[in-house]
Amino acid sequence: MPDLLIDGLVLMLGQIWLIPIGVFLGICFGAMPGLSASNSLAILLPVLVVLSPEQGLILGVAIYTGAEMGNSFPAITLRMPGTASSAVSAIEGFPLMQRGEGARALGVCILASVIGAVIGGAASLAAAPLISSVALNFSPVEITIIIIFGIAVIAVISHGGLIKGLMAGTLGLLLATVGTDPVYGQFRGTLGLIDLYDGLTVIAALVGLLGFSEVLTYIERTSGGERVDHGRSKDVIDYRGMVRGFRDVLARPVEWIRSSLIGVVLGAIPGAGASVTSFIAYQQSLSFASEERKKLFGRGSIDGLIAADCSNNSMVGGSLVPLLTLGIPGSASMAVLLAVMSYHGLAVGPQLFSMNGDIAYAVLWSQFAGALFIFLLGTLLAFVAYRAARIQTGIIVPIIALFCLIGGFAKSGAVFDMGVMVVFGVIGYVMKKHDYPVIALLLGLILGGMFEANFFRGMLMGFNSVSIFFERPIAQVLWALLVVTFVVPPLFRYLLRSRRNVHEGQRA
Amino acid sequence: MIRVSGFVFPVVALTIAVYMAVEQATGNYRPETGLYMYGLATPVAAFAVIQLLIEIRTLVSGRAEFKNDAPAHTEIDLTPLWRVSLFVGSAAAAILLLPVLGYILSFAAFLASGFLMMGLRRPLVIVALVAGTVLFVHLMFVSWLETPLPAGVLGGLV
Repeated sequence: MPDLLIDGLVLMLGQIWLIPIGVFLGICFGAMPGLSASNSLAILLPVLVVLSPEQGLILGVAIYTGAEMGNSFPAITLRMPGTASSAVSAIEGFPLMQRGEGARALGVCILASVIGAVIGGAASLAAAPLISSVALNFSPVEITIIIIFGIAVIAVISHGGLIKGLMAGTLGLLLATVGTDPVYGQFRGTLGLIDLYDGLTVIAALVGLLGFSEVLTYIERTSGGERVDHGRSKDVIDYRGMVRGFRDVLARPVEWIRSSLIGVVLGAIPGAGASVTSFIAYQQSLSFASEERKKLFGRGSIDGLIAADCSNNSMVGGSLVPLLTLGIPGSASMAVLLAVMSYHGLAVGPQLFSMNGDIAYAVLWSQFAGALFIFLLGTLLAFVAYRAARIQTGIIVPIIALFCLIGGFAKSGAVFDMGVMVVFGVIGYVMKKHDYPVIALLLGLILGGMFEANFFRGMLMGFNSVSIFFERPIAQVLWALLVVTFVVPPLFRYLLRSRRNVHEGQRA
Repeated sequence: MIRVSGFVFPVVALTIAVYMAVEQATGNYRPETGLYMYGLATPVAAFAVIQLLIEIRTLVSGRAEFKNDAPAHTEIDLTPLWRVSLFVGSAAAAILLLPVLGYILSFAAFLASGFLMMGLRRPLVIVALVAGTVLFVHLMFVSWLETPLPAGVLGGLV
């Protein structure tokens, strides 16, 4: 393992030139409202798959890291969050901007993001090889259950509710069966179309669900000619103010340690997402704040801003862990990277560290280089990047839609897949309107092949009896965790509600 | 407001599940694969039916409230949906025309229609944006990444 650690570092250093490019693209995309890290990665997928596997993954992680910081820039300066995950940055950062302390807020955002990225990187570098070595003991039986677990977790935490989440996830698994049966070579669900004999192109579906659907949502929400005016703010951004922001972060170590750890843990949970992570970290920061500091929340709290930006970036490291060790993406952005890994034929799952260990370690090491570049580029770009938010939506939307069309085409070179991309874009648009978790459908689609293959191998192990899935000790632990996942959240909500009713009864 | 669109996804899911199950049952498939296909199609169908029932209940209870509290006249704004539908239609047209016209012409038409739909009205700006974007696509995807976009009627020129 130490050899692979060094090989990975050397491999990453050989591709280090990609990281500032990725961070720059991520910051610019992240600064555009409506474009999250996952949308940006989906749009750039044709570029990621053409590069070598380590280049594509390192560039993807750099874009992800840059975008998680970049979406805070318009949030702070224009009160326009790039995504839901930077809503907290808008709540706490914009009041600072209005008081003429915009540079300070940006400085806090930048250094908190850097620290979050470093802690996330360290945690993933330490945890991933350990989890991977445990996961090597997983047979096809355990891998099958883990995939069910991943989809179930997303379903449980999705806003729309359990039924919608499970429907989306199982539909994804069902759609993954379209094409040729991997065991007997029979065609399934092809509607007689030769273009579907190889199955649905995952990349086209991914670009549609994450990219094109967002375009359609944007079109519905805006009239296009808008350039959002956010009123007056004291537009003072200078380096002295930024340095003050850096000092604010360094003076609050408890804040960034706690928030970073929250980001790492929640990032490892499939489907949790940056918006959930930043709000939980923010809420924890509020809970632990002194009475004096509590009054500042909502009015320009440095603690709240640190919590949001630290957790957003440490989440990147956390979400890499299940991707690299189990082949289960911890977020929509990681789903894009999983598509890159699958495209290049990398060993997705526990074998990655043994078969492509140098690439896995290169990706983990790249987070530290990414942290350095988000500090350098973030500081340079803070003055101008937020202006990307002022670009008219009427200009951005058709261009992004065009890149989505090309993205659907790029992998297979078939115009049919552009149509697949549009169809999934419409599906994703309808899903988002009605709170269905798109990531559940995507996870089912991406992991469906692996799920089927491992299911049949498990059946072979059990001599065609499903009882094998309940007999092995690790499998039993996983089923127990699955039951806990379904039972604990509603129980927790019920207990909270009961306690609230009791308090209200006492007050009355 | 009546949200009929809430029925779309469960109906689509149910249709897909029923189609896959019927295909498995009526096709010449090995029985071993049947377990897997039915095992997936059944929960999809079950969840879709449950969600449809929830949507129907929401619709009925919403209508009851509506009757009690509603103003005399309620307007539903369909303009955004028309815009979305038009945009999807223009994307579909671009895809259908791509093999014939080639990427330069069909993408240019798609972009121009997109900009117009999004409210841009200045012809020079639209032409500049279309030309710049198509040039970028040509340089980045066709020349550098060698993406085999169909050249169509301009084949031999690009």
